[in-house]
Amino acid sequence: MAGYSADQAPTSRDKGFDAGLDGIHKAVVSVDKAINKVIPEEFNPFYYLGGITNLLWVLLVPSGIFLWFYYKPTTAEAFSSVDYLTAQVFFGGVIRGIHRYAGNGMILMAILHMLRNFFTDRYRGFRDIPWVSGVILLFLTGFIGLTGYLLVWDQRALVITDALVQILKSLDLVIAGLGTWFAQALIGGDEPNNLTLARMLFLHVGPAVMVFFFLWVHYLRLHRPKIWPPMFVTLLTIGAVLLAAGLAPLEKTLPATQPFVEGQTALVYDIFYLLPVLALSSLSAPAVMAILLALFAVMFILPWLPAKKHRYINVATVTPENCTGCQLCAIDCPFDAIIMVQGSNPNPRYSELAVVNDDKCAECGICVGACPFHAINLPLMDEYAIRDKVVALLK
Amino acid sequence: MTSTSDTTQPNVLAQNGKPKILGFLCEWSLGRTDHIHEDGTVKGMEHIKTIKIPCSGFVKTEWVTVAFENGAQGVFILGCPLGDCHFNEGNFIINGRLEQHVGRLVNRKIVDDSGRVAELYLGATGNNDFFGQLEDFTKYIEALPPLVVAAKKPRAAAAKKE
Repeated sequence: MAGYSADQAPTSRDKGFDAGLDGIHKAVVSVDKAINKVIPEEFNPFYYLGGITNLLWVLLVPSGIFLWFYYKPTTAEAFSSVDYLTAQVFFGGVIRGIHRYAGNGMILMAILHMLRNFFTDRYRGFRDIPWVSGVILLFLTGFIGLTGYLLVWDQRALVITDALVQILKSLDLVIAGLGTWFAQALIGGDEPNNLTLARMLFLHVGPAVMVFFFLWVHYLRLHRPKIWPPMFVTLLTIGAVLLAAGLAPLEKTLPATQPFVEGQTALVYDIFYLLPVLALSSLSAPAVMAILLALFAVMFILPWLPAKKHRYINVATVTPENCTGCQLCAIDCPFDAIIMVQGSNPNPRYSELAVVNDDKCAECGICVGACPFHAINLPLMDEYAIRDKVVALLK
Repeated sequence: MTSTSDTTQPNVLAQNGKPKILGFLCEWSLGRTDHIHEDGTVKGMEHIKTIKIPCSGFVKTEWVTVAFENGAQGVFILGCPLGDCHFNEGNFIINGRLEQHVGRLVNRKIVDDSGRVAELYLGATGNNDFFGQLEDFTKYIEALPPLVVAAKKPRAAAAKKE
C-alpha cells in the first residue's frame, strides 16, 4: 500500500476525463466545451438530451389524447376524421403539428442521447439497466411512430403497410409461416381491412403506456438523473415545437380509400420513423429485417461486451483475511456490486466472503464506511491514509 | 484571542484561537468550490480542516472517534442534500450510521454533547450557506467546555497491515 496518500488520490470526478478516453469521447467533450463558451454551462442542451426527450414525450401525450377524441379507427372514416380535425377543429391542425413535430424531435433527441452516452462510455457497469431499458424505449418510440403514421390512413399509410408486411414476411425465410403469421396479426388479415386501424390504434397507444414503465426502469438505477431540462432549455424546446407546428402545417395527402397514385409529390417520409420503409427502395426486405434485428441485438448486449481498456482504477478491494462475512457492505452497496460468496472465506470460522463485481462498482466507498473490520478498501483512497491524515490535520 | 496559552490545553485550540474542527467533504456536494485551501483548510476559517472524500457515505465512523481522540472539538460531515446523493443513498447511509455512532460516543463519554458531530447537507448551489453554517457550528462548539479525550485503548485493528 505504500506510495499512496489521500492527497494524491485521483477522485472519481477527475478520472472520468483522464483515463481511457478515446478520440470520439474527447471530440464529444470538446463539443460540450465549445457550446459552454457560448451559452452558460447550466443551459447547454447537450447535457439535457434525455430530459428534452422526456419533455417532448410529455408534449406528445396530451396532444395525442386530444387527437384521440376526434379519431375514428375505421378504414372508411379514419382519413376524413383526421381531415376534419385538421381543417375544422379550432387549432386542430396546430395540435396535430405539435404531435408530429414533438414525435420527430423525440426520436432525434433519443438517438442523440444514446449516441452521446455511447461515445462518452456511459453504458457499462452499473449503467447496464439504463442502457438496455433505453434500447427498449427507442424500439417502442420507433414502433409507436410507425403505427402513428399508419393511423392517418392516407396514401403514405398504404406504402407503410405494404412495407411492414414485406419486411415481416421476410421472417418466412427463417421459419416458414412465421412472418406471414406476424403480418396477419399486425393488420388483421391478408389485406388491410376494418380491423387494421383498430389494431394500429391499440399498437399506437398500448406501447405508449409501456413507455412510462420503461422510463421508470430507466431512471431507477441512475444517480441524480436529469429528468427535466432547465427552464431555458424547456422553453426553447416547447417554443421550437410550437413554432414548427404553427409555421409549417402538415402536408396534405390523398386518402387511402382511393387506389395508390404513382409519383405523388406530397408524400413526405420521416427520415427517422420511416427509415425501414425508405430503405426498402434500395434494399431487399430480408436485408432490412436482418439489419434491424442485428442493430437491436448488438445494442442489447453492448453493456456486457468486454471493454477495450479496463477503466475502473479505484474499485473497492476486499482483504479476505479480515472479512467476517457479515454482509454489511453488501447490504449498503447502492449498486449491488458486492456479492457474498458462500464457503470461500479463508477463515474457517466464517463461511461467506464479500466479492466485488468490478463492473458494477461506482467507486463511492460506501462499503468502506460500512465495514467495521477493515476488510474492504478503496486502493487509491486508503482508509489508513485518511485516518493518518485526520491525526496529522489535528496536530 | 490569539494570546491563549498553549500550555494548559495544547490540543484544543487552533492557531487562530478557535476550537479545532475537522470536516469530511463530499466532493460532489459543493459546486466548483474554491473555498478550500490546498492543505484542506477552509478559507478564512483556519481552525477548520477538511478532507475531501468521494461520497459522504465513505466516512468511517471510526475516523470521527479518532478525530475526537486527537483533539478535535467538533466534526462535521458535508454531503449532498438528502435524496440527492450522486451515489443514490450515500448521505442517508451516513445519516443512519452517525445517529448510532454519536449515541455510542456519548454513552462511552468520549464526547459530552451530541451536537459536536454535525451533518451538513448542501447542494451545488449551497456555497453561500456553507460559511454561515460553519460559523454557527463554530459558535456552538465555542460555547461548550473544552473536550479532552484521554485515548483509552488502541483500537483493535488500528495497525496497518503490510
